Amino acid sequence: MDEANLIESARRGKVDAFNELVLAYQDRVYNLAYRIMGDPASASDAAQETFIAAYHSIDRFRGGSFKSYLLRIASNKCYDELRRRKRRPATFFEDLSEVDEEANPALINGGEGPEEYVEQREMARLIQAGIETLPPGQRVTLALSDVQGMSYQEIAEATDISLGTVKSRLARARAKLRDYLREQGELLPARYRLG
Amino acid sequence: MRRLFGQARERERRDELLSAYLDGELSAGELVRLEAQLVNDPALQAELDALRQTVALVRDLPQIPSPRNFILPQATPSRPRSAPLARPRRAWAAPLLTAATAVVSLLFVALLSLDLLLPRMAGNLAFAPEPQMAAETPQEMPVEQEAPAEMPPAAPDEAEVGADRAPEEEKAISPVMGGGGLTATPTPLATTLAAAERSGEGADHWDSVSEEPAEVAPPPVEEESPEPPESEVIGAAQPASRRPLEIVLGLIALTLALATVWAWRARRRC
Repeated sequence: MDEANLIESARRGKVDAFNELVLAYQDRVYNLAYRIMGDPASASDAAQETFIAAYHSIDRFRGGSFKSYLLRIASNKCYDELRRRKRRPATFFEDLSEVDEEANPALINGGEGPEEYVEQREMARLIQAGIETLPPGQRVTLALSDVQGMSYQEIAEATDISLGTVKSRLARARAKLRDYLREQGELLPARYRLG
Repeated sequence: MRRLFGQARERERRDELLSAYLDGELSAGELVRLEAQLVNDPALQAELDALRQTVALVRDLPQIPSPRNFILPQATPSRPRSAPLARPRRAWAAPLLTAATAVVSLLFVALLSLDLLLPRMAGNLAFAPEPQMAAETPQEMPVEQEAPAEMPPAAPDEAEVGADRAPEEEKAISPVMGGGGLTATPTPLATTLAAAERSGEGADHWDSVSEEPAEVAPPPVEEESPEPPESEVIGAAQPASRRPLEIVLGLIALTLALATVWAWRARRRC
């Protein structure tokens, strides 16, 4: 069944049809949530809430990219949670967990050697740490642009901000991340070190 | 400090250009200028290379697979039981409410300012060299000045009477003024009033104020009258009449402000 039919069925209350869409997009939604939130538990919560909210508001989906529709909800959920945490900081037990998503065996593609695998894992962990130093708005914009590959216009629609603000936030996020990685210079694998 | 701020701003601007350049989002003019700069500035080229590498590193991050399925249970209602069908989001509501709040708030402030300034302006029209005489004479002068204004709207013969009266009243005024140590120069208002009566051209002009003098006319023109000065009576009456309007405007401004905050917050959600 194609996506349009699935969406139409979901509008009529068919949960099975909607779950087909969930299975098709859950990796993408979870990945976005993880890159923004930084920990697996928060990312899972955000992803679950995203699909629930998407199902409840499916009547408001007027066509276009269903992927953008889901990513918009996901980014808003993550943004709201980050803002809430900023207002009421608390120690999250997830921060103390030893789960390392970058070491996920599913990420091994089989082609790289052990040294390369370790290097890539370290690099990914450092980049993720750098992303987590960004303020919420810049983090979300960077994730939508460079992690999800959305255009400036798509990001502006998803986050309800102007094109100028998208450009400005993205530029600042990238510059901050660049400066962060420069500071980590010696920690970076040699071939990844910035000039 | 300013230089540091300027340098920081310049650096931000430069990073914006480089970032937009990487995404192909520069205008034709900006593109030509930047590429010319890159040729001549190795440091700028190095910044661009570092930025490009950073973006590539983020784009090459592995996609983390979801740790579990997020499918919904079969019993999931199509919309939350507690919430009715949500209305389509109106993106224009928040800016519109913001504008309305600003307008109403400005009106409120303007009205309040008028209230504060008007009594002072009315007081400034009178003389006030000595406290005692200033307490009485300036208060009475407007009464005497206004009294003749009752006459112009009436019949022409009455206007003549009024004109005849005006010089007498001016005489009545002058001793008060002289005795009080005030300067004998009549106020521009008194001069204008007298001149208007004589010419008969002031009749229409004073139509609008004829009612107000009528309100304060009953007290006789007595120098020792304890009646409150007309300007203060007028000044007191006007704020009282505007008070309900101020209260209403204030309440509307507060309500709109709260609605604006709610609308901007709702706009952030889906």
